[in-house]
Amino acid sequence: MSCTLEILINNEEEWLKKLENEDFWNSIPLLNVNEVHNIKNLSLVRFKGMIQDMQNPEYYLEKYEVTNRDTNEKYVKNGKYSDVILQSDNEDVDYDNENNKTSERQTYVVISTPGVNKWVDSLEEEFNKCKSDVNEVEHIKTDKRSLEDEEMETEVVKNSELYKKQCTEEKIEATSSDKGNSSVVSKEHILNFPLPDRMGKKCHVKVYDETNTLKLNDTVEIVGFLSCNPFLATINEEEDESRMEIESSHPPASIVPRIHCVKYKKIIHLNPLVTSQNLTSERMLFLKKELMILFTQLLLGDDLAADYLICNLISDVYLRKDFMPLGKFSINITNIPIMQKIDYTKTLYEFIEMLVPKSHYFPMTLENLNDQTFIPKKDYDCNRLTSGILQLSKNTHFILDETKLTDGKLNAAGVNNIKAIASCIKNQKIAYDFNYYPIEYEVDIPFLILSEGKSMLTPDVHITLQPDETCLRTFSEIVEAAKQFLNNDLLNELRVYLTFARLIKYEISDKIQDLVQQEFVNMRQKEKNISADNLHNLLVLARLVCISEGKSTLDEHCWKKALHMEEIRKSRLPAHT
Amino acid sequence: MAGRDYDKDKESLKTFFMEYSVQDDSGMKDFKYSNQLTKLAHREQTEMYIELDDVHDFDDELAEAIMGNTRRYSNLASDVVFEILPTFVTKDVIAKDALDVYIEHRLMMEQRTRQPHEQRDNNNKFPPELMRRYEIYFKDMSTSKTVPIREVKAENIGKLVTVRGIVTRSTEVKPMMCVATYTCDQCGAETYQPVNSLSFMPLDMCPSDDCRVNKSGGRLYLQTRGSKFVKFQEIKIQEHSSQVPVGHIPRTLAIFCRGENTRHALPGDHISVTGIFLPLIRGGFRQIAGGLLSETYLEAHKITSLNKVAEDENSSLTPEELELLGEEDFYSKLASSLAPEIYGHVDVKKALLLLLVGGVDRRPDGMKIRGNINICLMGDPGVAKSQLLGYIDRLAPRSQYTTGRGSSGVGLTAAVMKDPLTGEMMLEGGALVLADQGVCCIDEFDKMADDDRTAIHEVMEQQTISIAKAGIMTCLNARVSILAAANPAYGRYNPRRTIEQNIQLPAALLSRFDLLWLIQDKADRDTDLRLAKHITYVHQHSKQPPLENSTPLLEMSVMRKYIALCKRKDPIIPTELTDFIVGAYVELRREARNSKDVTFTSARNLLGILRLSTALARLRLANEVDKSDVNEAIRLMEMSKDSLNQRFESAGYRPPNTNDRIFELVRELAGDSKTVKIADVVEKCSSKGYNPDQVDACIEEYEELNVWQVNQTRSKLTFI
Repeated sequence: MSCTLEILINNEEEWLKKLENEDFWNSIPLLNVNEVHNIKNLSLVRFKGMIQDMQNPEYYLEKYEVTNRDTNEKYVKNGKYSDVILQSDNEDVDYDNENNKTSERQTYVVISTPGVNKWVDSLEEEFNKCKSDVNEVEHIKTDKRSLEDEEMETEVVKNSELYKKQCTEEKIEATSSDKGNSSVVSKEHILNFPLPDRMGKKCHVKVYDETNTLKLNDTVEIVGFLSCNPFLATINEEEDESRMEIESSHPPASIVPRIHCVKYKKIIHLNPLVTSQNLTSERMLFLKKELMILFTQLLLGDDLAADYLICNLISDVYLRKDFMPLGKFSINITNIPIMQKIDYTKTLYEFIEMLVPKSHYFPMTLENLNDQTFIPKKDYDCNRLTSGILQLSKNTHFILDETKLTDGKLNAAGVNNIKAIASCIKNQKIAYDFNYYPIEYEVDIPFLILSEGKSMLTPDVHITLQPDETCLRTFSEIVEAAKQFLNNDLLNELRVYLTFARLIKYEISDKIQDLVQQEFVNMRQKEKNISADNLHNLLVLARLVCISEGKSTLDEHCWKKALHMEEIRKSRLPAHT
Repeated sequence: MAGRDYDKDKESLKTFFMEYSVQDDSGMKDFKYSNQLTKLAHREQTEMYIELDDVHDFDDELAEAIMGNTRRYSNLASDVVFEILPTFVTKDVIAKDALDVYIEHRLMMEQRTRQPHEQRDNNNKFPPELMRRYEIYFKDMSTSKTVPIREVKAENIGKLVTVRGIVTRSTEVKPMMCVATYTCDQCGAETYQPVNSLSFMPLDMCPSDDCRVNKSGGRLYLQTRGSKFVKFQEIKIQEHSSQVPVGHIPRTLAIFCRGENTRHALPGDHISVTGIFLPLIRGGFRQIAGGLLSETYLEAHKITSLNKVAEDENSSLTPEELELLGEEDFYSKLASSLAPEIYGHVDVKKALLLLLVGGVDRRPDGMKIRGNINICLMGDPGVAKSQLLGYIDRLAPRSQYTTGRGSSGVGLTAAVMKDPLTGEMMLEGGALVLADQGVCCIDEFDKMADDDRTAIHEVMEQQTISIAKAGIMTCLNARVSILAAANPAYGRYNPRRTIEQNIQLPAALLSRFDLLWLIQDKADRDTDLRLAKHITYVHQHSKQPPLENSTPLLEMSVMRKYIALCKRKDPIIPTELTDFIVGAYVELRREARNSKDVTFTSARNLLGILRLSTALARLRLANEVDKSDVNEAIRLMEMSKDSLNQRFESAGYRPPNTNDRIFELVRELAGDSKTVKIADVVEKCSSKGYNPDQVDACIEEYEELNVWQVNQTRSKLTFI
């Protein structure tokens, strides 16, 4: 079933059609979970990831004429889908032949989607790991490594100091090991991931069609020819003043393999459990109830907060008009208790992490705010986009833990970071720093801010937690029970539920629209503080309540429920001064 | 272009150089190129630009050919000039530098030692590049459009293209060898090697006849003084942010500049470059390894630095867009396209539109009267003030958004900072300086720091910032329009207090605003319902609801282009109108005296009216201010005052409707006399913001009530 370059080029149409078949598509080895050296060079591979950067287009010889010195024969060779000229010793390439055809291809830098949670990775591995003798050994090895990673990850979060140390150590290691190669840039520098504490892969993907539908931060699945010709790295050998730039844009193929894209698909969600099979709305209602039980317990008996949390977890921006993103639903849960033995926020996050495909936990300490880069910045020395924490793909949940914040001074970078988060919450846009001017990129990151008092950021919804005394006392037992409660089947179904809710097509009927309008007018009559923003928020909340119950049209029940939720929420807020 | 006869082209280029002329104003023929050639011959000029417009006049096919294969024609033209240049020498040329002396010597040597017409070895002959002391460049046709960097593709290779961008990197200017000269250690013969690429392989063995025949094995040594070098600089440009499609990374392009084209650009400059798009020829190992790939660059022919403000205005409006703008009520259409998601507030939006366009600056006898319009929005919390500011910030080509507090130590004006590296003191501009020639949006204006508040007085009238700090005394330009938003001091606007009390800003500062708007959030069933409809529509259909009058909203880019177009106009105020304006002003003052006015009417208002009316004339793309402009300006000013004054609504009191108000106006106009001209009435009313239809309706209504009579020609009113 293997497909080589020549076969494909000769029957391109046929193969493209073949790729439409999902089974065939899925049978192609997935590079994310397989090691590069286990896959044959120049064979078809699959890669899932996020577009992190785009380079300038490349000009290459699509067709070139070759003369065989022995036989004096002349023939045209194909340069599409390859990096180097395939020439044997007795062949000469005629560079000036007029049959040669120069074409353009686009290079995208694709990295493993940042923030993907472990359960997604391990499921992918289960489905896609190549099973051969050699790989069996490899399998164990990688398992081990991922365990190590796990440990590292948890440590990192606990102690950013340690993380930094590790980081520098790694750098030293990387540079020293590369010394034989006398490389200027470290491996970490080459990989350039947004989230520093997650492992992943990076590829340069050469795309041949010029339709330009791919955008920065899109998640894509690519099928193409793997190319890790050592030649690619030797280009660097020559001394040049712009060495940094060349090394960054032509990293060694062993670290960053090239993929010559034959076909790509945009990925809407990364959840491997979601199949074409639909959940019925009854089932969804049931699952919501289960999830409510779980979150109510975890949120110390507060079912209102649990309801809002579910809404947050299924929210996404469904419409953008000029600068108003509709559908964003970032929430701030305040009055988070501080427990002596258990790190409450961390525990809560562990459960969220288990449920959503992509998330990131950010302890908002002063050091983290001051030292980490949030906004991607163009590095003109290396001619690439240096990533920042906020370079995340659509629907990556961002959990900000403000309980970790202490008194102290923010430096200029810290202030900018806070500003970036604030604009991200408000407009769902981030202005990347291109030094000479900023360019705004649209994002869709639902924020969940956990804090003791009111957050310094202004999310869409602010809800005060009302912890139950007994729950506070028995929290460690609750955690244990919750883990028991989430048996594998239920867990998987809840995962599907959260992803599936997002995919529901939603609409508002004319009848309910009139009701909403009347209601709003009445509200305005009663209370003058209600503004247009409140109505926007209410409609978004009503939508989320509606889809969380598996319905696709807004009905009176959901609208009333949204109103009711808001009412209780507002009554909990401390009175205005 | 296969099969073009280059010899023929060479001939026609020659005739072009010799014979092309343009008629100057006095009807004299100006031999543009032959004059330049004379200068070239005398070493008074080093570069010559061949304008393709001229070539097109002369021979359009030739111009096409040049655009399609520029590199070749550039060499061709250079050859032609070399051939004909000696004929232009009319006086002895004084040697300017060592190379001139060298060339002279070489020519003398050649005449002395060689037999004429002797066949000579290629390496031993003087390569033409060595002797040339001029540079020939092409200037693109004025009709050809600049290509976005993104659109420069494989098919442009070898062709002349013009691109625009921002310089992100420029190397130092270095000498680049273009002809290497060697001397042989045995026979002393000079050997030349023209270099065309970035690297070259030095020659080793002497190829001269002496050495070859005698097998003396003469070694060649590179001779720096005899070689020819050109200035060389590599720069990189990147697309403008406006050229980048949504969600893409800006692209870059490498540009090689030689000779006179170097040192034209620094990082951060906006430039437009005409040049030939070429593949980079790499020699040796790299060629094999890279094999399939070729890097590309643009060989610069002309670099123009663009004014930062007039950056994207070259992209002109399409005919359809222009047609749309030419329509009747496009003033209100433009205004309603401003921040369409914010409901209502048409007059405020109109005022903001005028702020974007700006009035005309005047500088009579060194005095400076600003044309920038300052606007202050006040109002209850949550009435979308910040959104309006944000929208303007987005729309304006140059703008700064800041809060009164300012985010860094620099604040609004400027600060003196110590450079951490060198320890030098340096000035860092704040938001007002950075927004020079643009709009500065200041939110939370009332919470401004005290230093800034004093400085802003100067900015708002003199449009400069004077600094006297840490031994640095200077004056920075801050030609900005200020758009401020302020919250009332006690949470809500209290109509029973004065503005100063409400916003806690001194009158001196407030009077510097041309327009002050109070936006109040009033619960009103109808507007609430419309608002609710608007929002639910957006949520239901995922798009903006169609407007009631079904006029399509203008896109932001179109508005930007149109505003830029308006800014180019400099309308004047015709003398006939001065009396009218003076009259209107006197009226304003009188009214302010009579009624209990919480605002102040001062001479600044007169200037304000002038600014607003010139801005309105600009908006019509007119060269002269019209009476209607002045009326609209006065109307806006009245409306802004009204928004502050009319706040005493008590129960049971019926607010005067339009007809009542118009009637009031007519009565006032009539004074003691019984008859009034209707033309006067209409004019008076239009300055108060009523349109002729409303006036007609009023006249009819009161006619029915037998309050007055209208004569048959409908030109006079008579009270009964």
